[in-house]
Amino acid sequence: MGRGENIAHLVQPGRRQKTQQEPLDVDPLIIRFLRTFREILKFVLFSYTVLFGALLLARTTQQTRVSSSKSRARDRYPLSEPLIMAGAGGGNSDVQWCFSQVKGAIDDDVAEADIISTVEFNHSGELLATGDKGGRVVIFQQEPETKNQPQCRGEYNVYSTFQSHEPEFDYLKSLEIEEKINKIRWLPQKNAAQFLLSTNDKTIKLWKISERDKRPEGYNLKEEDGRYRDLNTVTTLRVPVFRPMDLMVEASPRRVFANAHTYHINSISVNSDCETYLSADDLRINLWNLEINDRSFNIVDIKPANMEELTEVITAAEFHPNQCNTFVYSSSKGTIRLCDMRASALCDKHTKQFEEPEDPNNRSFFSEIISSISDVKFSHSGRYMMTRDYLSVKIWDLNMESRPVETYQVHEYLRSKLCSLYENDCIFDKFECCWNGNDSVVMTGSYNNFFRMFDRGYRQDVTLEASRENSKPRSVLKPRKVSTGGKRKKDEISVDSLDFNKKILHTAWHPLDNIIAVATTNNLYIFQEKLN
Amino acid sequence: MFGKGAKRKLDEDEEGLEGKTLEVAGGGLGLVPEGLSKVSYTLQRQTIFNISLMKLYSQRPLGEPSLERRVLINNMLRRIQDELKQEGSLRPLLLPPSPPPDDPMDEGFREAPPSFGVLSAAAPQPSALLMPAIIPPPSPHPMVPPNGLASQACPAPLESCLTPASLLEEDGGDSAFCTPSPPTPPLSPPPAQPPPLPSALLSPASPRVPAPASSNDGLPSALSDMELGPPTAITRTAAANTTTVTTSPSPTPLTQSPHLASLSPSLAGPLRDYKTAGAKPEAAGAELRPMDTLPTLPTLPPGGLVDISSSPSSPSSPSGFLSDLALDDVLFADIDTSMYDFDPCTTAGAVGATAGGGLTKLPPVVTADDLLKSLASPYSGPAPQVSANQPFKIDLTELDHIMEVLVGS
Repeated sequence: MGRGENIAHLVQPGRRQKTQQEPLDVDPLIIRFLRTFREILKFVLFSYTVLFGALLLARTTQQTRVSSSKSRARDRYPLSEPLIMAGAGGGNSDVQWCFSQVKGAIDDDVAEADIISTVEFNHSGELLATGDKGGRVVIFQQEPETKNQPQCRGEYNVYSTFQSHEPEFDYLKSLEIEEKINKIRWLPQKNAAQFLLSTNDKTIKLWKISERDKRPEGYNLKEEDGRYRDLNTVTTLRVPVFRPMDLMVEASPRRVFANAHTYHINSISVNSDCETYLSADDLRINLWNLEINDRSFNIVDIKPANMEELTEVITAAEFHPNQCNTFVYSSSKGTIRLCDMRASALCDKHTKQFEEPEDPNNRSFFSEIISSISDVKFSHSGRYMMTRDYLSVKIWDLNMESRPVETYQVHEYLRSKLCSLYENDCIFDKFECCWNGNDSVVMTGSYNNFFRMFDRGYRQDVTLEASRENSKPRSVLKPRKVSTGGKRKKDEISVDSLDFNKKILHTAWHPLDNIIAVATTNNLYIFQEKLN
Repeated sequence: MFGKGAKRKLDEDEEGLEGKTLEVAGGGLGLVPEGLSKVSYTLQRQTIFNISLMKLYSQRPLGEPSLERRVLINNMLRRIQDELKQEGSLRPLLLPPSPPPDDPMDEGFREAPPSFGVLSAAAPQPSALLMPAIIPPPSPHPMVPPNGLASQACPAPLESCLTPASLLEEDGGDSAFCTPSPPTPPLSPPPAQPPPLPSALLSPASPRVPAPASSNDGLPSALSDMELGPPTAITRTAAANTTTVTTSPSPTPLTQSPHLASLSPSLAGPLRDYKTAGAKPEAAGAELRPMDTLPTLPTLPPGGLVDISSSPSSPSSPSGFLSDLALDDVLFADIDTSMYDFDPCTTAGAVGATAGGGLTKLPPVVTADDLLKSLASPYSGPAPQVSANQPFKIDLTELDHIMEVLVGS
């Protein structure tokens, strides 16, 4: 190595060598593109979040503004419906009930056959079925809401009427079997037709209600009116076509479930599996398959070996709304038993027994009779159940058997009148009860055509009256009060002037809206919530 | 069921009576409410007992009554029966309560042996209990000592009673209207077939020992008796009623007082019947007679009157039956009926009828003291006693005849 060599590098002047810049670490095109895309994506997400937040904000403000217009809100914001319903409870001062319609004869002379014995909405609330003592079923359909009156919900008009049960005579026992419809239960809708179960004391029938709005025309062998054509006049062949016709609603019995009950059927309940249902009489409960009408399984039997020892009967039974293996039945002694059909074939041994210990302050001769449960209903959620005895409504949590979680007195002022009510048989009246769509309000009937609503959330209750005097269209119902003390205020009714012949035993609440159907002796009243 | 305006006065009277009893009782505060509530409690219990029996009786012709309703009424009766048993049994009077005619629909219920067999012993007890409760406060009375014994005989633990005193107190006004209205079905005898009374008149009063025996035999099949409808069962009861009185031919006040007490609820019913309509059945009137003959009757304490006044009016249907008998005019034409202006049919008929505004009206209360005063005056002499016994025996023979007819059929 000589000095010269290195110097050669140094002394050579020259142009500055353009140092070759480091070539840019240029990624391949695809990576560049992805990076850009990532940026774009971030931007897009950010903007969407902003927009979504704004949307939510707009929705909440819209809710509070348009809270009363449920139908519109329901259509556009289906999720927001529960919030609206919770805000507008029955006993809440916000909700006012107004008269909508009344069905039935006006005259006071009540025909025995017209006495309404059951009322039931279907699962969508579009149809309302009533059964009467004459064995007839009348179905009302809600008119679709008109565009020009969005605030007023549709009216219920007669959709179909048919004779469900006929009076029969049991020759063996020489007794008449009443045709009175004890219960109607709708099946969930599966196709275009509607199905319901109706029962009298002994027989259950499955009815199919279908619409027909087209008919075939142009048969080759038959005239339009059905007569057979003279074959000599047939010169050409044609294919029959369907032409529209006036709407016709047909009801046809699809199944008859008979001869399974020795005692009077008091309840039927369709299972959540939509394949089976139960029917309960005074001493036994049978399980049926909707398709099979000649065989049923007995799942509860409380008949004692010696009938002399009979002290308790079954008064009502219902399937759980969600669990297809669970049902409850109530007794005349005030107990409710919950049974699991998976435990055994015969559910005589209950899984849970709900019974409230007797209040020693209120003991009387009639304690047992007034503790007899007349109706039991599960809440829509399936968490609670409601029982109705003579003087009160009790709400039970299925997880607590020792006592109800809520008790509401329906007509406590009758407690001192029990002796005379026993005498005139009113103490044996079977009142029903019902929940509203979101289980926040319960309703039951009383005497003098009064019915009571209890708001569970707001702890309020109201007494309303179903009478012809309040029957102006859209007139608001005034709350009524029964005076118990000596001092009777104006507009109050004293206990002694209550009419015990005018009793509201059957009530029903629309599953989605604040529409109620209340049955007096022979009239059906429909009340709606007052809309602005 | 609930009487007219006139009855309100009587009800106030009765409340006044109860108030008087309260005042007279004075004494230990602890005793008075107990005594009064015990009285009203037993009154109410007897009332409910009678109503329940009446309910089990009346059956719709074609439709079957609800099983739940019958079970509840049965439970009520059983409970009352158990209470009465608990309170000790006085002389077991043969008072078979007319069993409910069974619903043929109930395949098993029909064959059940009578759960109400003991009711025979139990039924008269409340009245008997009433006597001891009522007697001590008022003035000394020939019946007091024996009833004192009777009161000792029945310990009657009030703790076992269902109704607390507070409820009874406030129900006092109510019980006043509760009690009189219901009828006494077992004790109002409607003989189904009007017996040939003239022949009965002639036949001597045979010893009635077999009659109680037969009525006893009737008890085991009480619940399962389909052949014997309510009228015949009631007749049997009436026979037993009258039988028991005659089997004690020389009634001491003690023996007669329980009989009287047991009969008084029943007799008040037919008593009123017979009073209001002159042509009321001889059977009712005949049962009236032994009560008339008791000289102690008019001096009964107000409680006793309360007892009688608490007796319900007879049901309309039996009075319909009894009107068939023709001896009324012959025997009781001289009875003054002017003070009775109400019709027991309307009061009792309301039980079956709709009682729409029923609660607004107070039930009729028997004008018992008026009644007894009127009775005492015409019938205090010995001569009427003889004649009183006579139709009584006639009644017995007639009832015996009826029973023979029934047993024979």
